[in-house]
Amino acid sequence: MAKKLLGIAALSALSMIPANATIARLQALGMSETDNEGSYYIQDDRNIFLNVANINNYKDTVILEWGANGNNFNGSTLQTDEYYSPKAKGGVIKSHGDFVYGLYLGNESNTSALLRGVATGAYSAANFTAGAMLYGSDNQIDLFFGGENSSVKWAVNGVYTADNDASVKSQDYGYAIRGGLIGEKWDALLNLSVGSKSHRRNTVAVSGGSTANGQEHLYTFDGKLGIQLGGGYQLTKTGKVYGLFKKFDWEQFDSIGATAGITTGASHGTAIGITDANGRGQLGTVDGGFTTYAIGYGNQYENGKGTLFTNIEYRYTQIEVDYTTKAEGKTVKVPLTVGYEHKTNDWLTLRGSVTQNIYGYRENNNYEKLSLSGYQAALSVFGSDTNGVKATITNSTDVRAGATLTFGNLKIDGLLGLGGTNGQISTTAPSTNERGVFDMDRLLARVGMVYSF
Amino acid sequence: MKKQIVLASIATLATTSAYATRARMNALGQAQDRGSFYINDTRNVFRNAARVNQTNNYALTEWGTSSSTNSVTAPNAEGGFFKNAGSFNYGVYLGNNITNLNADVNTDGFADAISAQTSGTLFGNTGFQKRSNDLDLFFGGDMGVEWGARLKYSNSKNEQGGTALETKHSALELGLGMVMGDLNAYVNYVINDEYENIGTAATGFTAENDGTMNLGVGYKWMDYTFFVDYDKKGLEYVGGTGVAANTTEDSTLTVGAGYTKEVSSTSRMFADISFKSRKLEDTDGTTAGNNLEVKRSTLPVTVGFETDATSWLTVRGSISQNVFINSQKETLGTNPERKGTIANTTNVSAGATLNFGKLMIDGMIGTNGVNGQNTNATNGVLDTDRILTQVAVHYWF
Repeated sequence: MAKKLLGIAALSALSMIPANATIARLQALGMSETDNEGSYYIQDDRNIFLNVANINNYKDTVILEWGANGNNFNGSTLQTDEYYSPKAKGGVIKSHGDFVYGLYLGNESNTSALLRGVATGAYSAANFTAGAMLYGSDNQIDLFFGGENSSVKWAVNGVYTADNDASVKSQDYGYAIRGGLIGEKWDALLNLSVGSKSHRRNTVAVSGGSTANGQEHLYTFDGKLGIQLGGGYQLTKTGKVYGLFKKFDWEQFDSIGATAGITTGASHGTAIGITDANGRGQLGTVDGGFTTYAIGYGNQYENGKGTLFTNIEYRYTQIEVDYTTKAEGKTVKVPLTVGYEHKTNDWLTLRGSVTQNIYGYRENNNYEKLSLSGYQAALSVFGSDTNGVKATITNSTDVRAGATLTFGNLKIDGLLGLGGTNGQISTTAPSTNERGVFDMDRLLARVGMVYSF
Repeated sequence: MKKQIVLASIATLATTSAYATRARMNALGQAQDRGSFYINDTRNVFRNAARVNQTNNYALTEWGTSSSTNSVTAPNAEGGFFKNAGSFNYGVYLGNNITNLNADVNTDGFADAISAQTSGTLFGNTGFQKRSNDLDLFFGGDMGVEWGARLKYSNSKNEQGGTALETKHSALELGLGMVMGDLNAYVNYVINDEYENIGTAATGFTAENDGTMNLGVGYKWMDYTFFVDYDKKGLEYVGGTGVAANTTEDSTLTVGAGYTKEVSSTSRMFADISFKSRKLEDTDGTTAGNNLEVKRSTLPVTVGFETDATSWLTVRGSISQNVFINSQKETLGTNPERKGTIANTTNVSAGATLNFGKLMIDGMIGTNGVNGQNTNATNGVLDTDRILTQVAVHYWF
């Protein structure tokens, strides 16, 4: 081990580069956005997906995020992009004269996948143990173009994703446009989802002479115009106030809906402990909506080679599906985050954070109407059903840590302390990964590489 | 004078470590079998034999199993040496089986293997003699035009005994290449690759090559290299006396451009884009309803980098994905054609070279997964136990 440390310590021909990099860094500093889209107050190259004008700050870089090459939501269980199941993505940002352009590959949205889980038809979600959910985005392409003049940095970003799997009669596509401005003390962003559709067909296979046997099950997700507005203002040399508003509506269609009489021998619902799986959903078209808004204050206090981060924000998140009995998930919380980052030497930067809600509740209702995949999506974001009453968000204290290994123009980022007690990073029981162990074997998780040229 | 140039080239190689192995090709998003169309690498001698004139005086070992199978997670053992001798260069390489038709292990056709539909047609038999002990001999020179030739040979048999028929396998392949300034061209042609008998008394079991070849041309212009490549693998299988032959083939036409930029004396950037038109066809000699055809049109983009982090460590990485053109059509028998896209093409790879003077150790990094085993290859973990996988060692002399 000593040799290993000495070896790393020998990496001395290194330049001083700001440690701004990747999803792992922001997660170590307390970011918990569903889509890991960046921070409103910490400078990081991941922020290009929040305010696209940030490409002007991170030009001439190649960014690689290690992970699986699969899309993240087409199996029997939720497989969103998390630290224990990261998704490969990356790209290049290049300057050309006064302009900056970029190409980023594979940055599929978790939110898009979760909403498709909600819209998946109840029968298929319950009875097909694999591959029944509406496909999420796949092979996504982000094209960037921006520039700056004397006072403002600007950029636009086009997003394109499409996939079509004839073997399971599934189609999915999505288009979005992002735009951003960054002034001397302010920034503003407008991100629009202009097209997002997914549909799928399965054949019902049930025993017992049901008239539904052989019937085609069609279910669709049809997104309407989605909007994300945000901005910030630098109040003091270290402090910044920011706000955001995000709203997305959709229509979902289910050609079967609640079908209590249809059962099969291998119900996925039974497998995860839900026995009324076929009594969920609703025949026909149903509207859904997702709303988030937040206002917050972030502070960065630099002290030599270190930085202290503090952040407090009010955040409201709500999703509803307008069945005859509305299914709803809602959280209101005020998380306080304290983080630090310290450049310990030329080749190693360490960081960490602690977050806890100083106020927070969830208010969920009628989960029993959601399809099983929708139920799983709601559980992962909003917690369990509270039957329409408010319940405190318990156990919100979270400590994270991370490191950057700097090799000249190359930085390797990752999360620390996720090896658990047995030296493994569990993908099936992530709660066992945080046992206060500094595991040198599985040294870094959710690794990202940034190369500056 | 020529010798001095060669020595200077070797000195450059030894300091930059930019030339190496399957692991390096995979980490940079290139093909591990024949190497890259535009990135300099020793592996490229399997595409263009004339490259033997450009990288020589080294010995190479690729760690792995002695089995005839080969993959990133279970690589086969191979290696050899390349040497300069006056005006000529030569090399001997052992265990490389990039044109293995897998008739001894794989019963799926090429189309079946990538299709969502199953034809059920057999294209091999596990009773066939295993392909083994591949030997590649290289010879080349520079007479104003760099030229090179490669001869691959593999032969094995088992007399079995009793009434069982002797199982045999033999393969012979010829590769020819030239490099003239910025222009290069090559052809690799399998002359013979044949399996006979399955270790029983049954007669007429054969599997043989059906037009396997690889040919192409490339042209370097400034930092860009334009390339056209045609690659075909074909196999004809006969499952006994009087049984009609089944044939399977996989052909790909690639037209593209690669970009290489020396960002500094210690760092390099790579990018490429290519249009690939691929056609795979399994033909059942007995049942036409089992005939399966798959066509793919793709436009993969790759961006990679390689940097000498220290005097003893080189780190590299890449991302690739199909963009805009990403379609697959397949037809089984008389069924309606199925159209779709190819899912999950985003791929991030990384690798490293440990430099110990003239000795270098290459490998992939980040392939061990969450539990320290290389079966979970893509979970974003930097594992210091099994720090390198698909390891290769090369020594320059």
